[in-house]
Amino acid sequence: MWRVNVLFFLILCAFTLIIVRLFYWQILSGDALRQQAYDQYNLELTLPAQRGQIKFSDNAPLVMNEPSYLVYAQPKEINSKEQFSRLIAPILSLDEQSVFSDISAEGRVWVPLAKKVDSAAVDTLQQLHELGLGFEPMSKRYYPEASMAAQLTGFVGSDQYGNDKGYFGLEGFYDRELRGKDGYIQAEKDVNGAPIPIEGETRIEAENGSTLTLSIDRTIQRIVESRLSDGVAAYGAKSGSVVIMDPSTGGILAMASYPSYDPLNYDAFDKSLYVNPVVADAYEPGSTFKVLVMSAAINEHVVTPETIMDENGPVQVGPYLIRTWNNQYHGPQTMTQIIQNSSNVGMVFVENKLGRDKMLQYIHSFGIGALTNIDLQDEATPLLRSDSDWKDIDLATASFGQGIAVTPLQMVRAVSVIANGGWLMEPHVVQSIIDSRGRMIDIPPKRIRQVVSKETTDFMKAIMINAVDNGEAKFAKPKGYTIAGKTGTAQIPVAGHYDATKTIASFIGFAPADHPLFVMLVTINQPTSSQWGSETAAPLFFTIAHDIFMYKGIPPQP
Amino acid sequence: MNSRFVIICIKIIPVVIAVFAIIEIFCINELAGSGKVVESVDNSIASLRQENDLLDQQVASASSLMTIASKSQLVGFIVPNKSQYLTVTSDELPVALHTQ
Repeated sequence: MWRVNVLFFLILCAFTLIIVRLFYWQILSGDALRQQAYDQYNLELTLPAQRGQIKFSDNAPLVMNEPSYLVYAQPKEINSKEQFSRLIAPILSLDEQSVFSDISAEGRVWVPLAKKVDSAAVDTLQQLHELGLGFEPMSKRYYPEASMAAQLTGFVGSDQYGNDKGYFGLEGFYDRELRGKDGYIQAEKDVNGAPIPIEGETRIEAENGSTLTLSIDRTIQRIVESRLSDGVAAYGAKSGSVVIMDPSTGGILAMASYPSYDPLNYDAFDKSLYVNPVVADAYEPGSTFKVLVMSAAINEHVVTPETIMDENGPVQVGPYLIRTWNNQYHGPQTMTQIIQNSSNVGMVFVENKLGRDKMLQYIHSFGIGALTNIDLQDEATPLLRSDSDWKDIDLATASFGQGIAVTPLQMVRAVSVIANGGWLMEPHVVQSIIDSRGRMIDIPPKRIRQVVSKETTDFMKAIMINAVDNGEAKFAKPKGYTIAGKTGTAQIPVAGHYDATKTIASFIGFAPADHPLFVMLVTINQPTSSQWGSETAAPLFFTIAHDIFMYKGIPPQP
Repeated sequence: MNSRFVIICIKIIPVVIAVFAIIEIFCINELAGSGKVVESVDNSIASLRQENDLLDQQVASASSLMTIASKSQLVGFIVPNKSQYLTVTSDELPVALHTQ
């Protein structure tokens, strides 16, 4: 009987072992084994989506893609790792020792060596016929105009998973639209890895990223960049910016800052250059702000261009004494002459006439202290103090553009109000988006609100034309053209006080004044040849304006 | 006559089934073996796409303002420093433009 029991026990043990083993294969290792089996007979390929292009207004590419490769090594197939490293590393600009240690690491079957390697380098590598060296196609950004408009476009880097991601500017703002959606192929494969077409194949095509067409005119952009870099060098300035906007649509025609960076090799540049100063840097606008305050006062009928004030000396505001920029006083002055002579004393008179509430209302209405909602990732706005915190001296200095901070874009948008008949526009860089199926989405111009009347803007145009024709910068104006504009020179606040030697020189204006094609702001940061806007920013403005007239075929009037 | 025809048809059915089965096996075999061809067509498409991208890039590069500016400088074009506009009033139009 005991033998039967032993036999039963052994059979029980055997069954238990089988059940334990089956539990291991089916339950514990089931998923992994199923995956292994699936991988053996299934083929899964990702079809990478191409990032969308960015085009100028004339459809010429500003940013596009070029074929490139991921170069990888399969250490188990390499004959001599020393020779492999010695041959491959210099072509990929890698350190030979680090390649060797990467491919020699224990248990590694697939080692990525370099991403986004261009076709020429891959051709050279292929000629080596090295075993264990592989290539995976991918694409990388290509810039036909090199670093043109770099701070506007931004650049493409990697996210935490190593995937492409747009940073700053358009690449950052429109990252989702530009990125597209990867597709994939799923099919059964034969022993050689080739797909078997008789079974159901799932194929989802990649949706390439959308193409952005900009309002940027590439000729004007080139003119601006070339003239700006020359200007910054000629005036011994630290930096400079130019932004040009179509006042009737809010479309940006050109936007450039100097110094800039190369989006293809962004790593090699200081990170502070990545941010676009035109939309993110705050500065005190100085006298260019006077045209906004004067527009408000004329619109409220508290002054007219012919209203006379007596400029007979400095004006007292509380404990402070406000002087003119050159400490010269001209006696009775019309409002037109106040802008022409850029009189701070005269502007305090205008601000007093306007009154605190209206002054603050118009500052807000002109969009100062608020985001413009331009389609660029890096936009920021300097904060305005709250309405209750404005003291008399703050209002007085704000009337001539000190003690108030703006971005160049806010300033150009505000002056566009005068150029286009009174409307505050929403600025934008992209004018249409075309998706991978060819559907076009137009982005129409957006009017925010009417700030001042058409009649007021007509008065202001005449005042600004006079400021150009008879002001400090008249020597540089191109002959035969009507240009409306205003110079500005603002001291830079450093550690709570203004540094008398450091200024931001600027000039803002529009042309042709009767039917403005563009509004342009030129800012020159800390020029050393002269600190005045009339001797630095204004000549640069007129040079660029003249080039644009030539390009657009606008003849001078006799 | 009709019953004989039905009997013949019934007898033929297995033959027809067998023939279709053989055809199906042949076709499946052919298709299964054509994976290589499909793969090579896919590879050709990918390679042609890459070639197109490369050509697009070359066209964009050749037509960029940077290239045009440098090439025009090489062949002797200069940036005009001073331009002159000729204003022609309607009565001074060239004769060829007069239509009456």
